[in-house]
Amino acid sequence: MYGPQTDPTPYIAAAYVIGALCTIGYSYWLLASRRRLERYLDAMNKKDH
Amino acid sequence: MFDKPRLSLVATIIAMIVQWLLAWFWVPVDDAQGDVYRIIYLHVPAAFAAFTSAFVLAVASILALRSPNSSKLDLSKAATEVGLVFTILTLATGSIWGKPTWGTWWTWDARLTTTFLLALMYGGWLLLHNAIPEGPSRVRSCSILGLMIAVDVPIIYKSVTWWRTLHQPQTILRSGGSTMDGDMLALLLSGIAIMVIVCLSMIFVRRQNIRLQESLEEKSLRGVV
Repeated sequence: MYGPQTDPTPYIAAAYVIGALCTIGYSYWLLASRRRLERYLDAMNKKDH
Repeated sequence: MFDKPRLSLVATIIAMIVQWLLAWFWVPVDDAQGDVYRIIYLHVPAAFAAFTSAFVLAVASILALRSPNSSKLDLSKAATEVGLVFTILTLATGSIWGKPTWGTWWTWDARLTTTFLLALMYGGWLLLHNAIPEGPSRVRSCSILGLMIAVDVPIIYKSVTWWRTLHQPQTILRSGGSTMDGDMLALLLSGIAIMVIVCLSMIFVRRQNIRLQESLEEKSLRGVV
């Protein structure tokens, strides 16, 4: 159980690293996917014309 | 260059990082739990974001059920994916917080179990969506499951009141007012607001990506045919 001898740093660090992966990481993936999809769409439109 | 949902996402992620810095360095330490309680500034906002996704999924499901022949499930799919991400984050951070405070990574208490059920149902929705071919049948099945997912949210919220649980009771919306210190409560509430907007921004950006992808698939099919 928690007590003065328990170092909270690894727990806080682990939680916020997972938080960063889920929020910042997922957001980065969303924005990167969008850029890639827009490039594909531009390429397709150019091919049609 | 950036449309509103993407701008909103970037801006709120920056706000979220600022809120995390305040959670680590500014807000006072808790008397009972010490510094480990700082996980609350991630865990509780993530839970509210998961609930927000369920709400968006419920609205999208109702709209889809009104006209299943012409509805698409892009908003529902986006809300489900984002909801799953935040539910996993809630479970993970809760587990990490539980180990030093309760002495265990997991227990089958009411709140943890109903939140785990939420994660399973979000995952189940995505599997169901992939299993049924596009059409009114998929719209109906996924939308009904979407409404069931939304029903789990108030159960999760009230679980600490309805059942005897290991999880701590409500600390924000409780009769007699919150027991939290003013600074702690202010930071927590702002964290919840920021995370809810992050969640909504993610949903709308993901929906746009899904639509772009569908448009690309349609174009490439026309090219083949």
